[in-house]
Amino acid sequence: MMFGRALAAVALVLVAAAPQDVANRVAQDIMSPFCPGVTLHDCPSGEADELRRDIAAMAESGMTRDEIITELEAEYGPGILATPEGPLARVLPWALALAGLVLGWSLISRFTARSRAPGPLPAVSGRDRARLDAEFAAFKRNEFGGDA
Amino acid sequence: MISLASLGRPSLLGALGFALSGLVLCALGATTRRAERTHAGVRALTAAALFTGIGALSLMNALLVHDFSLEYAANYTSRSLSVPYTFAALWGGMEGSLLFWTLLLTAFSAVALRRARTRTARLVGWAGATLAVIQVFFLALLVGPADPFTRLATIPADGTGLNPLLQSPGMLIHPPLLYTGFVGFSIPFAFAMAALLTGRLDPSWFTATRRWTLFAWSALSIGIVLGGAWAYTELGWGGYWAWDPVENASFMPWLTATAFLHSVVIQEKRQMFKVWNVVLILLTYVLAVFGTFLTRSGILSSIHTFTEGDTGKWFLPFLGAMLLGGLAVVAARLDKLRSDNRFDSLLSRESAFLLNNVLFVAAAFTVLWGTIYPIVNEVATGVRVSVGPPFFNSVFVPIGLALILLTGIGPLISWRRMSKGSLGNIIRIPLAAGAAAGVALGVAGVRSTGALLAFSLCTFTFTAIASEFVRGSGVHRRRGAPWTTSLIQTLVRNRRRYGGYIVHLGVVLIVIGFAGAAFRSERHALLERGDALEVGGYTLRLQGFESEQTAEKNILQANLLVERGGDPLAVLRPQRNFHRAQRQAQSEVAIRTTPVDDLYVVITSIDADGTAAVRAFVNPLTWWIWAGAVVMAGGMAVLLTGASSRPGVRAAVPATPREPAVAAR
Repeated sequence: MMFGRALAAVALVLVAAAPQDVANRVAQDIMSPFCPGVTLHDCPSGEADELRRDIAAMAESGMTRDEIITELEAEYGPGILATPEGPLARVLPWALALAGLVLGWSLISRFTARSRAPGPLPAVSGRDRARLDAEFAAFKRNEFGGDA
Repeated sequence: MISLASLGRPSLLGALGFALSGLVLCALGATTRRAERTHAGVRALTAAALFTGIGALSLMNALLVHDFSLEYAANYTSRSLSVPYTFAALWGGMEGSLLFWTLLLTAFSAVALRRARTRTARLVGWAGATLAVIQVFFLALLVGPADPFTRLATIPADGTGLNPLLQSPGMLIHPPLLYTGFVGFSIPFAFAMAALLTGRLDPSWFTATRRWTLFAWSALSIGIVLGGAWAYTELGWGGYWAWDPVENASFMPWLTATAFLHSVVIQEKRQMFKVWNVVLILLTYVLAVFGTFLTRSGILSSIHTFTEGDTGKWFLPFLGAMLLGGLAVVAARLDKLRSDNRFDSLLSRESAFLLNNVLFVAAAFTVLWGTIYPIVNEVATGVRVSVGPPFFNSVFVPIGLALILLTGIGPLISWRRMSKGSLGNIIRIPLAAGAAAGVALGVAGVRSTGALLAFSLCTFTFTAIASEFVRGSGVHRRRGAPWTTSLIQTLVRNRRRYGGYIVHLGVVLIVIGFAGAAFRSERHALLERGDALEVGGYTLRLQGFESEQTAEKNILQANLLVERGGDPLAVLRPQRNFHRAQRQAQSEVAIRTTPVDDLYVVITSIDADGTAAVRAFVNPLTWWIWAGAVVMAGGMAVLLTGASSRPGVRAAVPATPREPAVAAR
């Protein structure tokens, strides 16, 4: 029953976007002019509540998310956008993350390549093989008491 | 009669004197290799801790007895403030929080140095000197620009009281835990610096501080989650993480510290990543202090910041000196920091750990960039911009999903090398479970790609961890022990490995909770008595209001009947309160929580005619975030009991035939 309810809750996402959903989305995508560093959606002030209601009214009147945001940007300035425009803001973090990944991968590859020294493996004598088998057996016995 | 508060400033001056003496003695002990000087330095630093303790007690006493001649007591307490919040006011303002930070720093330093005197004696001198430098900085702030014992010319009859938002049980535990985490990292940082300065770069520096690192990381982790829980239950916006600059400031050192906890295992096992590890702990400490700088500088907009004073400007040169000084010492020792081993294969646990580290550090830098971008942009263009949750979510979600995948794969891969066939065999079942979960949810109608990926990866990782427990306990079960006993024996015999797995399990549950946010629904409406609001399958009906007056506030409570499919489920009672001392209105949320979803209701205003502005949220799966945090805390407890401070406890992975001497160390 719990699983069924969870699926039902999850399936709510399929409901078409109502004007209030559009308004909620807008509130999540802009910063609050009334609370420092917080989106309008998360701002607990009374003025923020009024602005959220104004946005809901805009959405009810048929305005799209982008149209509402453009209007708000015109009124409050670019600082209201939660995701700033421009390559520095949009591209650089990804570039940094990708550069880190490439660097990490190249480090592994470099070290791996260096350590792959070709050459025949030395022959193992019967005595050494017996010793190895005994040590492997001891290792297996202790395996789950060993360390990570 | 001399008041206890008058002892505060002299005791802090005394602490500063002892910290300076400790610095000189420890540095002399380290450079001349005279143990008695180092021991004297440690004793001086212990005295600094005692004197800082007297200072903190003096301030605490002033707060509790309402000594409003102290500006700090007048600004952050009032006669009507309850005792627990009066106690919490110690860290509720900037000066008090710095005193609390310094108290932790001096106490941790004294304990860590005294414990390390015998085991890692040669490191203690420079570690003590490093910690003394940090202590001198903070104590100088406290006797200078951030003096918590400043007197008022006119003593007010009552104080302003603590901000109502801070009057929450979270205030009693969240800031102390964060501070414990931040300050705790100064211990491994100091020992890393000592290892570099002495040239003793064997693993003893981090084995000596392993418990401190785990302790600090655990405190920071729990502190961050509790901060989320506080925001969720107190702030009334239905969420738990807002990517606020100060939240980010606590998250960045957590990311680098998590990377460090993983990469240090490779140094223990394979004598690799030596430079990486010292840089990571240096970064972690610098980022922890950077967070303190952010909250005290006023350079960023955040509801968390201390608005008064300009103490933050003193942090910038300190941060610069720590970072540049640390990097200079690393650079000077680069020759001794070469890895003793190399990667044997791309398909090895070392590679997985490195990838994990790269992702954690990339995540930390992304958060750092997003946090400081508004400043960078303002300096470059003169235009103030904002960076909010949409940016952070778009970057962080893919990185987080990749980390969850690695959390599942990493423990399954063997050290040094593994064949593709073996890997295929071992991940077959987790992979099938993850794919099955994805298909089932897809068939059930889930269309959010991010959520589908998150649930599938969480199932994969959960199954992988479970399979490790099954494999581990197999030995005991084959000997006839029952399941529970086998699991307990497995856990007890290798607490570091299985404690880590439990922490991973907690992370998986937390991510499931995060993924639930994709299905959140939210409605708001103006309700009069008898009106109803529909949200996420629930109906909320306003039945009426109740009012009450306490010593601190006027409470107005709405009674909302919750129904589902016509059946009454509960009555939720959100409040809209007026705090008289601060003349500030504040909402108290009401939450009906279940493992399936949370029904979250907040009243944002109540008009004189009885109309209530109601915001209601249905947050699916949020319960799992808190459940995951509890599981994580359990894993941390197991890890902490299994962490040894003795070097050489962990078995190193045998070296290749070409490098036997070093790896066998």
